Amino acid sequence: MRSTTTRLRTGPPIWWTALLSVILLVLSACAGSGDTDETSDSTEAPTTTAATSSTDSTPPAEEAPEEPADTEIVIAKERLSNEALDPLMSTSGGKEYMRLVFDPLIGMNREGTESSKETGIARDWIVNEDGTQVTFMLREGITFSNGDEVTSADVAFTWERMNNPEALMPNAGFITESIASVETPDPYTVVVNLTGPVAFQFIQNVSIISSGTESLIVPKNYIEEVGVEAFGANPIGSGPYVLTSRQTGQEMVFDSRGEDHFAYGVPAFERVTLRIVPELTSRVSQLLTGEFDVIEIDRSALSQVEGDFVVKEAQMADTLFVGSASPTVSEGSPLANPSFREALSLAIDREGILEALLLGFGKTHGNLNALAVPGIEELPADAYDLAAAESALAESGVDTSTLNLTFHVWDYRGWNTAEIGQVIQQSWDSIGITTNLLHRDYSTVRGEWVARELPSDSIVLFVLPGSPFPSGSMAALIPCEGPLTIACDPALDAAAATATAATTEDAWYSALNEIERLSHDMRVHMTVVEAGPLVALAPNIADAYFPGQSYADINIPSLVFGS
Amino acid sequence: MIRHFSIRVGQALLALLVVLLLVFLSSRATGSPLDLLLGPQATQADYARLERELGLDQPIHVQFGRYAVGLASGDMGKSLRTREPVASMIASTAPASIVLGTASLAVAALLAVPLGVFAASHRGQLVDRATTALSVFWMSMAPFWFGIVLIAVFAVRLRWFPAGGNAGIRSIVLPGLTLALFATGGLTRLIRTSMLEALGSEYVRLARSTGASERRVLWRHALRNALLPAVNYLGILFALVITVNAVVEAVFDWPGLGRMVYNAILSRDFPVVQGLVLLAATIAIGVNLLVDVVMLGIDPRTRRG
Repeated sequence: MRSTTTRLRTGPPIWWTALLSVILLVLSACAGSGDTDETSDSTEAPTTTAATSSTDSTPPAEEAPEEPADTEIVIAKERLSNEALDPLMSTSGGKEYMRLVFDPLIGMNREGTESSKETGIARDWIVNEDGTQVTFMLREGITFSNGDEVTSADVAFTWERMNNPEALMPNAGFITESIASVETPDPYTVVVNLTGPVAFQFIQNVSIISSGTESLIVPKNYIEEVGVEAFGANPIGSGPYVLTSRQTGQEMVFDSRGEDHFAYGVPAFERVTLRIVPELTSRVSQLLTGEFDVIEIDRSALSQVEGDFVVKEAQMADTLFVGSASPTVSEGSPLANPSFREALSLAIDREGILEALLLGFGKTHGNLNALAVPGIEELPADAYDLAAAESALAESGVDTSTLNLTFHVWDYRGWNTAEIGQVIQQSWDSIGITTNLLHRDYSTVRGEWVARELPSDSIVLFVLPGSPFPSGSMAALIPCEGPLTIACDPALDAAAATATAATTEDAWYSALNEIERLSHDMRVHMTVVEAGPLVALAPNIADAYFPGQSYADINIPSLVFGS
Repeated sequence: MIRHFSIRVGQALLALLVVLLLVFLSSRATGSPLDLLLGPQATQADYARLERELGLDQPIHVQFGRYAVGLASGDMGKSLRTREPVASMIASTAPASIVLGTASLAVAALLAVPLGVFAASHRGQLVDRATTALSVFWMSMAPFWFGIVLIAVFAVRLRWFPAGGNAGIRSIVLPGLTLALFATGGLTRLIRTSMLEALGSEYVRLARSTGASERRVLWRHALRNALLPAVNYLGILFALVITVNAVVEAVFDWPGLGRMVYNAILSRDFPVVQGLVLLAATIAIGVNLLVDVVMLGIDPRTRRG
């Protein structure tokens, strides 16, 4: 019989304990004090170091390490709308990383705010008298990364392939429909004969500042040799970088060609890594540890980075405005009453929203489009005045007890529209205007709007992306028959038609200002704030960065300009 | 036995079909991906063209039929965003998830087995109660919260490990630990329960009566039988961890299938979501089927089930 004092041995076998001990030892060996980016265990990933300056791509001789140090910048975006590497297959966005590999026909300045003759393949262009022909003069000596020179044949080919029914770039249709014929009298001259006096619009659509990827020039010989699919998998262009590797949904790695590029000079970084990191906390954490140099950041996370990092906002930002979905507004509707609309506008605390909900990043004004749009005349916003709002409401004669207004809000690119919508709704409620706040996804609202199935008397809180040439959005929002129209007024229809028919830049921007003034005075749009997406940068590269347009999110090329 | 196996296979295929139909319909119920692809400045013509190109203009039953036919020949469709074949996207991304899943579940098993055995052998005592409490805590703990805490302490504050990404063995520690502890909780409870059942069985009493040491009784006799449900559970857990482990992979920026499905859901990339959910279901059902087959072979009692 076993003694009751005998201790029962029930612990795990010794081999088990030994295995667990080994694992714990390995884990503790992996941990270590000091910077996590001092060394990398991966033989594939290069050492990550932030550049000292965009104008100084080589370290001073006295600080040079034993082995040559690679300079790399790691940029983290929340997402990419689509990750095509072939400009033809890019639906929207994409141009910021594609500009590392391809050059546009018409470039833009480093700041990302206007076209430039210094950074495009076309060094100049001439428009004939009636706007039916454009002649582009190309730079000589620009080469694709396979050594082929960029010629007029490549430009013509770039446009010709837009006829492909599988083309996904949004403005491909306009470009192909505008072109009657293309002549290439010599390797550095392209003559475009247009179907009508649309030279101004055509130039805007082949300019990188206004377009998506339509402006990017691709290699004719290479694509004809390897085929479209192979090109899409391994693109080559004339840009300062080549795509080295990519993992869909995770990252793209671009390595410098090491050449003196005509627009960028010798690029500031030998490697640009673009990471896709949807989770905000992960982006912020990796910025704090130095694993990332640039990240997209929401306002909610600013407190974690302030002081140690620099935050910049897009120069051509989004405008957030209140408007009515005009197909839902009948003649007797309160939304058709000018005094009622005045009451709505006066009751919006724009400055309060800017300070409290957008943490001061943004501006208030009365324009429909961003103030950075060239030639736009700034219009004043209504001052927040509840007493005046109540007076206007009384003057309107609207019986607030019978109101049945629906206030539609939807999420868009990091905007806290639900919060802002609630604040606006409460303001209106305080003067007796009750609304039914409906927070849904944009796809659903858009579908109902286009199909004219939104509820009667619908108000919308709309985010309009900043663009230097907002022809598409004006065509959608302003004409009575526009798919997302917020207006139905003969004067506005006439102004919109004038803009569409404009054959010169001056005429177009004059028409835009007319649209702005009419819409502002009639309170067709009631702008709340203008604000853009934010980018947080490591201090030593912040000066090199120019935020550019909101729609481009991160103006990556501005970072790579070298000496 | 063959008839039994055939029935099991038929049931598995039916389950897969139901999963396929459910995920096909539910992913489309979230809305159209076109707005996310095109942006607000696109025209109606752009929408129509893209809809045609992506095949989304077809009736839903036509879309499903085409997808099912393609699936039968191994074609999981193409990503709406990148136009890349879903199968190759999964193939290139799977290794990262397999590495993380395998490592974390291996650690979970190494922790859970001795804990479960210990708890069962000290039933009702302090160590049993402590183990149970710890298991419940680990099971209840939100992985995303725990992951963020680990990042804040060990990456940002102490700089012992990277905050995210996959750049070497150190990168796997924090996400692996998060997953391992979460899995350890449930596994420990399962092993403890199975052990208690095994310890009360006749063959264990027989082993004790023949003079076998308590250690031998626990580790040689009882644990062998107690591990069977744990193996089944680990198999299903493995399927989930490597395919739809979106939370941990998103928090740690781990480039695996979980993050892929997270991105796909956000951008309404239906084919990718469908492919990954189907993969997860296939693995889970496959593991169950395999265990059933093994059981059929080794335990005559199951053949009568």
